[in-house]
Amino acid sequence: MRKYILSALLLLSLSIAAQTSGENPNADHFIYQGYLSDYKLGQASSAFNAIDDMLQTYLPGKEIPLPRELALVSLDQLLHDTDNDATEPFYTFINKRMQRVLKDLDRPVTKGLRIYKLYNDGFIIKSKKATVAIDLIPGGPNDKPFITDSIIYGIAGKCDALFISHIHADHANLNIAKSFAARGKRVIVPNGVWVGVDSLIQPIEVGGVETDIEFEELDLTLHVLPGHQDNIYNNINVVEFHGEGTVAQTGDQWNGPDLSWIVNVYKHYNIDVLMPNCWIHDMEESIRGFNPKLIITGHENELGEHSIDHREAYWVTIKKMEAMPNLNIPYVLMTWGEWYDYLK
Amino acid sequence: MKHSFTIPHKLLCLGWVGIMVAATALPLQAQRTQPAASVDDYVYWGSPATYLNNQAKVAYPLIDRMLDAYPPAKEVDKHRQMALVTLDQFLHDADYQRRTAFYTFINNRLNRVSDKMDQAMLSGVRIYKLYNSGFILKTKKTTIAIDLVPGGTTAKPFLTDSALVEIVNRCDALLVTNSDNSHANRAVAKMFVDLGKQVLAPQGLWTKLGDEVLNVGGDTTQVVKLDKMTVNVLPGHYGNTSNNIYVIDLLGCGIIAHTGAQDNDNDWTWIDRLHDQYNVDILLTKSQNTHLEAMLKGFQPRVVITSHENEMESSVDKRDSYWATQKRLKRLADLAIPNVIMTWGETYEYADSESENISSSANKVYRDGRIYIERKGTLYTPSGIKVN
Repeated sequence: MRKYILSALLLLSLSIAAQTSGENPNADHFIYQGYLSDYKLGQASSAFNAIDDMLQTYLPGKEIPLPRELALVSLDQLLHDTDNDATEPFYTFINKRMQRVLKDLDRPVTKGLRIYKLYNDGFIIKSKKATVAIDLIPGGPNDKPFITDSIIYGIAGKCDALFISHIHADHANLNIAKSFAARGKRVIVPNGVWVGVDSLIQPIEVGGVETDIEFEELDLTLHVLPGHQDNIYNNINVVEFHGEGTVAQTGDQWNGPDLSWIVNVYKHYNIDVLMPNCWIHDMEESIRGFNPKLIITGHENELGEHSIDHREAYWVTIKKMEAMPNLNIPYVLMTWGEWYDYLK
Repeated sequence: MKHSFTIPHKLLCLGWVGIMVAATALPLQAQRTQPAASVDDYVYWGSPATYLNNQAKVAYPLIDRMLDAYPPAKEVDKHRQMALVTLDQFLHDADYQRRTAFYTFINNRLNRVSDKMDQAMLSGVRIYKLYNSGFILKTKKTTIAIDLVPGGTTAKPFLTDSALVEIVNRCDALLVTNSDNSHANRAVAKMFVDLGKQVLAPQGLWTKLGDEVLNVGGDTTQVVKLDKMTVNVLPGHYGNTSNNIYVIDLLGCGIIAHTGAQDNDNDWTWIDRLHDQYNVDILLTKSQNTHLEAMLKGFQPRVVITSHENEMESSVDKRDSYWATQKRLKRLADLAIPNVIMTWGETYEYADSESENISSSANKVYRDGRIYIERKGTLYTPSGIKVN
């Protein structure tokens, strides 16, 4: 009897496999019965297009209108469904958006700062005189990066310096760093990182202390604050664009004891824009410590190896900001391939 | 006057006053300073299920607001499209039944229908979309329900009993296309019967439920005259099962056809020519159909409104979506038949050519005894060929 049941089950599974193998005969009619993965691809494609269109219509600002909020939540849903990881619609979406950054980087900035958000915690800050990248990476696996080589190296080629917060692969990419050095551009990395690779890839000399680095040709000063992610060095890069504004990017700051000095950062620096990791340790106190005029969070929807509970959605950032009503600091919620002009 | 209270007595009094003040003030203070959620409440590390539940809780109200802001229309606005494709994503979540936000969303949308039904009609017909293939047609003279089902399970229906009662109270008749439980529900039919309201059902269905049940349909077209409408019952099929196609003449308020679950190759011989017999204003038809083009050509309606998207009882791959409907209809754009994609609990008003309100009127024109479709000033044959 058991043998018959097993045989029947085998036949059933073979028949299902046969049904779902090969090309979907009803694909032209957008009917997907038995072809779940095709359905998901079609849905992702439609959704990514609609999201892109909506985000292009409702650009980042201090207020989030309903259509933009819905587009971001829709994106969260897509990016928290692992079936959509590394699919063609995803690649098309992210590269289309990054292509726009590549193009827009040619647009001059006459006053203040233009802040571009890239994948994960990557930012580019452009002033009249300098274009600086922080934690610029292509994302994804080495054999199929999220952002194509032509786009990511095209973007890198339009930057004057690269600052890397820490060694983790979702922030630091040696090939990108080398591309900067090859063009004679400096790369500042934490103490002990990529030592001896290239004279222009410069680990800060001493870990755990504040370091100031002048970039006279770019009319800016980099102040590296000695942060940590647990026990590893995590440079908090405070970039002072002389006369245009000061930005701070916190990398993956996550260390309780560091809070003792972070709460006093505002006494030493007049921060215009803070770009914290959206899950920074003790978010409210940390932000108070910097006391910026504007917050732009980073690190939402890191796909990679993270399980979905730590992919950090845009709606979660909105909720976190709403949970700190006494901060009274505006924030701008950006996604990949967007930019925001900041004037002091 | 000198107070005779002793110091301990004074202290005791002050203490009481203090306690009273504190007792009054503390709840107020608590109310004022009651902490909203903290940042840590939005950390989901190690709790993916909680994360997904809360994501749904955030998304559904946004979708709801967006749909309300951009109601159904012949041209799909991109805002509405954003809402529909986001809704598709959430409704194609294999674990949708675990999301309380889903039930709140669908219950609220369907519960609102009865309120909307109280809005008076002056001309034409107002169409309400319910779950699955369920629709309500309301004119100034009559209100009828078609394939009205609660959906979901008995324990967790999509259309709750109380909401159903409110809807049935406002309807004059129920039309049921076929016996499948995604179209027919005995409890709903009984509500109509108990109120003495007419039910049109396929042959053999609910034969003992009451005199109000009229079993209709068969091998040929049957014409049933009801109060304020004439119903043409066409002999359709779903596979080998009878499926009544209803062409409802609302007597000056529009002609509406509902195809139920129609799907049978042999029926095309007569469906192909229906436009010769009926001047259909609105076709209500299942979107997920490999013969959608033939259906549209057969009826040549002024407007098509699709149905059966997101039938939650179906597996995810079989569960049709709004985005797929949109793609299908876009593919048939040459037919020049405007479409309206509606979701649960929405309404669309249509005024036929005889009505005073022609703003939403259609584009079917007659020349030399033939039907043409007019679109942006150009005439097309019903099959989409441009006429010089």
